[in-house]
Amino acid sequence: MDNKIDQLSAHQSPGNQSFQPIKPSSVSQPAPSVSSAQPPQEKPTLPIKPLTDPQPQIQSQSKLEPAQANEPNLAIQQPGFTQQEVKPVSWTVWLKLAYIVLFLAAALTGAFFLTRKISGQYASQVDDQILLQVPYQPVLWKDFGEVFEPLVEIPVYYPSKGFIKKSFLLDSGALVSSLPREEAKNLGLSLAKLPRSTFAGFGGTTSFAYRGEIKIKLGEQELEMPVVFTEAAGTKPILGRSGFFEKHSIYFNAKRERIEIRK
Amino acid sequence: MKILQTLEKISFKKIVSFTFLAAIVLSIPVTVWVSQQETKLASKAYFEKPEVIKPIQKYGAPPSGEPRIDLVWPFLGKPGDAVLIEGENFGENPRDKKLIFSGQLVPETDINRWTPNLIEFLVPQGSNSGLISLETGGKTAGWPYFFTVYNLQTKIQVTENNDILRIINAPQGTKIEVFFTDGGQLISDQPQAIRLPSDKTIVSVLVKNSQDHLLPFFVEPEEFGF
Repeated sequence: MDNKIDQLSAHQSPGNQSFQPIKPSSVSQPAPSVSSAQPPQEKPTLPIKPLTDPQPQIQSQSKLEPAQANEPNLAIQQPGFTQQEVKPVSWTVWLKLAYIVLFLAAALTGAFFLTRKISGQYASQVDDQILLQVPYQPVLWKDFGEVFEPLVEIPVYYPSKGFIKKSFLLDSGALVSSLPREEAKNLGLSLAKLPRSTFAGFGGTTSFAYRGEIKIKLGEQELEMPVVFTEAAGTKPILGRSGFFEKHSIYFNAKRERIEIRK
Repeated sequence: MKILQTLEKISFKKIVSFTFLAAIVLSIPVTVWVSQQETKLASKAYFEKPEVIKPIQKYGAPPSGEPRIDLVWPFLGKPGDAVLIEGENFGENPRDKKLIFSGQLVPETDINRWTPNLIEFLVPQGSNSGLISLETGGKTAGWPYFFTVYNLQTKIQVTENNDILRIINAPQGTKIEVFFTDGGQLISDQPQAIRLPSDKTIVSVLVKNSQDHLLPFFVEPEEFGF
């Protein structure tokens, strides 16, 4: 077999081009008996140079166009062998490819982060939407250590005194905001004239509550909010869902350790 | 290799244009996808508006024993105010039930709760002061004390402070009747200062004019403990 390749190279390689022979086993056609037609003493005078620099390669092809086969410098066709020269890839091609890949990657990454930033701002709303922000109030508990209390101070309108700050507990579990019933008198309201409801207290007891409205201030915004006056005197005023949570975004900003009430 | 050969043939200008266009085209789905992800977290629009959960009316068995009313509390109210009836053998919201308020049938929509021991209802609109009775499982029960209905225009007020009852804005000759839980009764025509026994609990109060007609009045709930 080595003889066959040597002969082929000696006869048909021009100049100092070197060729990489490919074994005919990869070719579907059976190998012709080239070596048997040539006497063994007709050895090539030019040795095959080893491949040191990028050189044109010859690849086998089972079928080759006739025009290509006639080009002696590029391809050599022998029965059972087809060899073709491949030009080296220019650096500009790599440059173009790199440009395409990098540009697309940069554009997609940019689009991703830009959209996320814009959507994120929309989702969490920007800071100018904040009506009120209150720092977390830490409380030390015997069993749980330091836990913050969701307390916010909100100005409540009293007809005789104007707006006075009052501490409320944020309670999304409460259906409606509530105030101890003694506050009704301070707010100039008569419980007897307010609609009466019931609510279930601890232990399944049923108590009466009186539905009213109070005026509060969130930032510069004044708003009316439904409340119930309950008989649980001494308990903390509560901000519940009806009229408060359902109309505002309550954001517990753990990073900044503060409660933000937003539009 | 074919791609590389094609690239070699294309000029840099074309490559730049092609890449720019490709970037725009590919950025669209990325932008839409990211927006959707953010919207999922933030927007109400992403979620279908949930249906309003309404209380389900469930009917239960009628009482086995005789119903009995122990207390109607409080003893007065405005139309729409909640009132509680405590007692026994009311049944677990039976289909066959009637609540009569001052001779008027209380509509089912105004009955908030009907349990074996507790009924909660709203004073019917347009109703007057009167007696309360109920019918459940073919058996009846009643409350012997009058329930007073007042409205926002009512001027007469009964106050209680340190076991002293007073009537405010009452016309001349007004009388007051006070009923206690133990069955005791106190009648007075001195509306300015009626001393109450400190060991008794009020179950009902009536204010009558000189012709013995019932007069509507109101009280401040905290003074009477409701």
